[in-house]
Amino acid sequence: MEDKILELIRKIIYRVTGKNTLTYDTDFVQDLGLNSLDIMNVVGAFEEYFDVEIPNRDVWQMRQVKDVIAYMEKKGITEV
Amino acid sequence: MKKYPLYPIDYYMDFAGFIEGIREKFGDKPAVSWFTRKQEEKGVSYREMCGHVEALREVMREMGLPGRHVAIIGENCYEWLLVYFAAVSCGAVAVCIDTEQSEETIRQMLDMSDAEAVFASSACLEICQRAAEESGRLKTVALLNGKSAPDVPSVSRFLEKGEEIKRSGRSEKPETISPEQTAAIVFTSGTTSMSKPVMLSHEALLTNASDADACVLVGERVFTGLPFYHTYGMTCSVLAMLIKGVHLYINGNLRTVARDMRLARPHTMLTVPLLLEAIHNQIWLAAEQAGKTEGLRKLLRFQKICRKFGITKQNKILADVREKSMGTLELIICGGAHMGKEIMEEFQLLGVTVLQGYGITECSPLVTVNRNCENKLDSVGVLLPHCEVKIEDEEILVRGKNIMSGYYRSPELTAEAMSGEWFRTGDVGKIDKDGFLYITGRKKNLVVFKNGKKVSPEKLEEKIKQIPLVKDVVVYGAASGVSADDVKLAASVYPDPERTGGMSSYEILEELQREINQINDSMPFYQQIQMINIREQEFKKTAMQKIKRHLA
Repeated sequence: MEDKILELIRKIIYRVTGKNTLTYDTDFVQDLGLNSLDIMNVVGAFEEYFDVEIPNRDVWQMRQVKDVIAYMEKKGITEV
Repeated sequence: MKKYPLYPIDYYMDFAGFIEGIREKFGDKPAVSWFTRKQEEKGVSYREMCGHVEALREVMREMGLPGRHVAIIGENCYEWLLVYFAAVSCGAVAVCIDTEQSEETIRQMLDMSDAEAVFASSACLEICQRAAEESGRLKTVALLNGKSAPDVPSVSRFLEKGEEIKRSGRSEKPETISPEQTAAIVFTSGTTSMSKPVMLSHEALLTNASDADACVLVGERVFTGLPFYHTYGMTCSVLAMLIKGVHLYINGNLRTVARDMRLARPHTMLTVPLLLEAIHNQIWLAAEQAGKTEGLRKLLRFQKICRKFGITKQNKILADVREKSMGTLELIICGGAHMGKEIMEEFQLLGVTVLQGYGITECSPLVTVNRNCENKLDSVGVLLPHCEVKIEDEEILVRGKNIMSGYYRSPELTAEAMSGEWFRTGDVGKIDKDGFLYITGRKKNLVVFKNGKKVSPEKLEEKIKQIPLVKDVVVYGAASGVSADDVKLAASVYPDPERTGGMSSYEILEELQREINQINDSMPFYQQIQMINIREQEFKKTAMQKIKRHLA
């Protein structure tokens, strides 16, 4: 499941920002140089894909790819 | 100095007059529209919106709110505007709070502004409920929009009740509002540890909004995603637009801003540099993915040469690029932070005009703006009609109807910021012979981001200083290298030698990173520390034991 989510995050980030180097430890801001708008666009794509709403305050805590995966699991999303 | 002709526009002295004025003048014209999550368009006419304001105002009167402080904490939505208009037009003071603050800051803001009622979006409702439990003053916590539990008051329930009061004929007599009365308290990022609450009068806000209309001609459909809790969003993108009678599309969510802009098909958009850069990046990303980067570059160069010879005919491919990236957009008004000239030039070549302006919360906010026909890309434009500017020791000072009445309950801070009637902006600049203002630097220690947000380093330093390992710290905006004026927050830390004995610098850094990550968790992205440096030597200090920042 984790590999599938990683692949999905990779696809979404590539579509939104054109960047495609991604591992579990990639930091969105420090490694990919994403700004707040990029991050919100990525989150927006996620919300659409999984049909969930992610509050901004939760988004602040998702700094790395693995944080997103952990968050999704916490929300009960385990299927891609 | 050169005088530039102004466009005719109405001026209102108070918000009750403004609501009546726009209802009478624009009646059934569409006023405000927005899109739901499922892309459905919703909207109201000027008559409907003013009717809703009237109903909500009746309830606020029954609650005894005129003369009191009513806080609003929420993302942009139609109800946000209703609460603001109802509060200020019944003589209450609207306290506008940034949703992206930490819970601690939100509570401090509610407290220091003496708010007695707060309207919060669902994301901030619990924070406000917790604040009310501990506060003796905050009595009402109501939900701005969405579904609420039966025991939680909400704007929609208040609207039903207000309509009932209107029907029953027990409406109370309207209050008399004087133009100098405070309409809103808006928080600014200050150089002190806490944001400063700026008091803006009815006349200051409304004159500033009309002045903006007198200077810039916008289209019939206007799009804004600027937060209403900042003066740029409220005065320039809402008040000025409603005074003008345009159809305003609002967006309250960065995630849907691009989608809504496409759906709204606006002629004009008000925004910050961040969004323009995002559009610019998307244009080049699309070109790259289609293998057409070089072609686009050549076309833009060719278009630039044509412009030089006075040929303004739009190239068909460039028109296509524009249509795909910006739809029907013809005019972009940009403020909040500095915008690089190159991107604006590129937009001009694509056929979209970008007008840059300059403002500051304490000035309601607008001070200067470029004109549709007189646009200098590296300047922030010419002065507004009811506003004066002078340069003293390179610093920009502003005087006029738009200046704040002061910082709430802070006469000392107010005195520090003013020089007689002149407000000291803390920005450094110059004016050219045609009257165009150029910003060349800052006197205050603010870090300004591309989204227009500002952070005062002192605020974060205070938090970091609480980490036991830290003896001293300086937070600064480090160039991120993406573009010359792009910044990310960095902290330079001098660890406490007494507490770090025996630790390797790697261990110190790891421990600091862990503690700073915890601080970051409660902060929006732009306020998070992205980089930590460890210093081996203490900071150089002044006689007053303040760190000499420029040497740090």
